[in-house]
Amino acid sequence: MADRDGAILLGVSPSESDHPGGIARVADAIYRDKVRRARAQDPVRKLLDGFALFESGLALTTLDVARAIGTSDDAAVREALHRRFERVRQVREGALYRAVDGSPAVRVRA
Amino acid sequence: MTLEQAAGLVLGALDDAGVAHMLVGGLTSNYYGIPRATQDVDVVVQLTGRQQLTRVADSLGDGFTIDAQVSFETITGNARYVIRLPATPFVVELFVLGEDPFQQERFRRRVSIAIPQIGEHVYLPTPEDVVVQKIRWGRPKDLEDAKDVMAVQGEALDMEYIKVWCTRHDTQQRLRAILDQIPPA
Repeated sequence: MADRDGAILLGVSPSESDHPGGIARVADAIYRDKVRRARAQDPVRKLLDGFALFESGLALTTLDVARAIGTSDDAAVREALHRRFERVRQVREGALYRAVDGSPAVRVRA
Repeated sequence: MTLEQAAGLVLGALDDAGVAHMLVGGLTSNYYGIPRATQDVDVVVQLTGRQQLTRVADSLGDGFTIDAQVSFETITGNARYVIRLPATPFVVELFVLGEDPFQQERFRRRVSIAIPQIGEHVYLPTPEDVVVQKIRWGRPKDLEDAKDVMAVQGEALDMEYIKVWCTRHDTQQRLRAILDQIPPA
């Protein structure tokens, strides 16, 4: 029901969102709404949001890492957290960077 | 220390060492496009000697470390130094400005804005240059960023400039694909 209400807010009728192609129209409407909001925001605030969103994500990731390794020990969690971020960075960068010796630039600690 | 403060410290250390700089990456696509989380601050630096880097490291002081291992961007061959911040996986990456014509032009066209939380003079590429660079890198996240910047900036963008560079980089197909994905207003 929430999706249908959302569709109405975005100017797409609930019945339209149920039809073939309707999902694409809803997705377009959602994207147009994101663009409208971004245009209305202060650009400096948007830039700084990058930091705030990272901090929010980091808090959740920290909890998940602590659960995964089964301890809340700060040093252990920090170490595991850094490993996870390095791994993500390595995947994200793909073949975009190479180290001096030709090996991938980001080294994942054991 | 907040991440904004850490970024400000790095830019301040670059200023102190006489290193011209320009923010690039996710933070700049946030500025011109739709905000998303970013796990690093990317900075292009115009280094005239390695001793400048030593001065930057000295100026940053304890807690910050610069990776000993230098890596190179495969498209332009630009060197990259990674600065690790204390107690956070967040990093600052310094990309040395190289001879690549587009990199040179992007740096020449950079604009200065004031961001009180970071610095009086924070230099950014123009939105057109953000789009061209993102399309050139071509990873899914980069193409999403390019789409967002083009959608938000709309008719304010100099599309001719973007097309010229995409032609030189042979990335016109990527540009066309992105334009096709932007729903009409």
